[in-house]
Amino acid sequence: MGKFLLPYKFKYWGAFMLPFGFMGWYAGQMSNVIPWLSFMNWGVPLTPIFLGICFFSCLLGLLFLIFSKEKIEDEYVQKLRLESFQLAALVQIGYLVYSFIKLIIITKYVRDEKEYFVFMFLKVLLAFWLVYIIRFNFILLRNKLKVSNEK
Amino acid sequence: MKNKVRELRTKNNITQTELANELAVSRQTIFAIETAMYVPSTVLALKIARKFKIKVEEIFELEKKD
Repeated sequence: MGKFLLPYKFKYWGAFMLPFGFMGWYAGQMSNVIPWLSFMNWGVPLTPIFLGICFFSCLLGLLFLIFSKEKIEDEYVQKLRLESFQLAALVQIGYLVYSFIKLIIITKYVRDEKEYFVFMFLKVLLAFWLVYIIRFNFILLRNKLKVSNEK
Repeated sequence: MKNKVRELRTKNNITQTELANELAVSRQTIFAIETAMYVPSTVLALKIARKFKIKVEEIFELEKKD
C-alpha cells in the first residue's frame, strides 16, 4: 500500500490547501460576501476562475491529506489505513442507500432533480473521504495520547 | 494472542522509543503490540525475538480464542 502514497511533506500542503480552498470556494458561492470579484473588469470572468482555483485546491488538499505517508509509515499505520478504508466504504454504501430511500420519499417535493442528484452524489463521494480521514486520524491521535502517558 | 514484549522490554531496561527506533517502527506500534491491540507481522515478530535474543514462541503465545 505504501508505494502509492505521497511523501510526508504533502500532508502539510494538504492541511493548508483544504481549509483555505474550501473557505475561498464557500465565500465565492456567497456572491454577496465578495461582490467585488464579479465587478472587477480584468477582461476575464474572475469569479469562475477564482471558484475553480479554490475548488481544485480544496480537492487537491483533500487528496494530499489522504494519500500522504505518516512520519513513520509502518505496518500498524497501514493496518489502520486499511481498516479506515473499509469503514469508509461501508458508511458510503449505507449513506448511498439512505439517500436513495430519501429521494424516493421526497421526490415530489424536489424542485430540480438534476441538481439534487449532483449534490447527492457529491455528498456520497465526500462521505467516503471524510469518514476515512476522521477515523484514521482519530485512532492515530488517540494512540498518541495514550502513548504520551506511558514511560 | 498474548505477548511478553512489555515484560521483556522493562526487564532489559529499554524504553518504547528505543525499541521502536531499533525496529524501525513508531512508538505507537510498540504500544499497540504491548497492549495486544495489534498482532505484529511475522517479520516484526522475528525482529523483536532477535532483539531480545529469544525464540518467537517464547514472546508470543496463542490463547484459547485464537
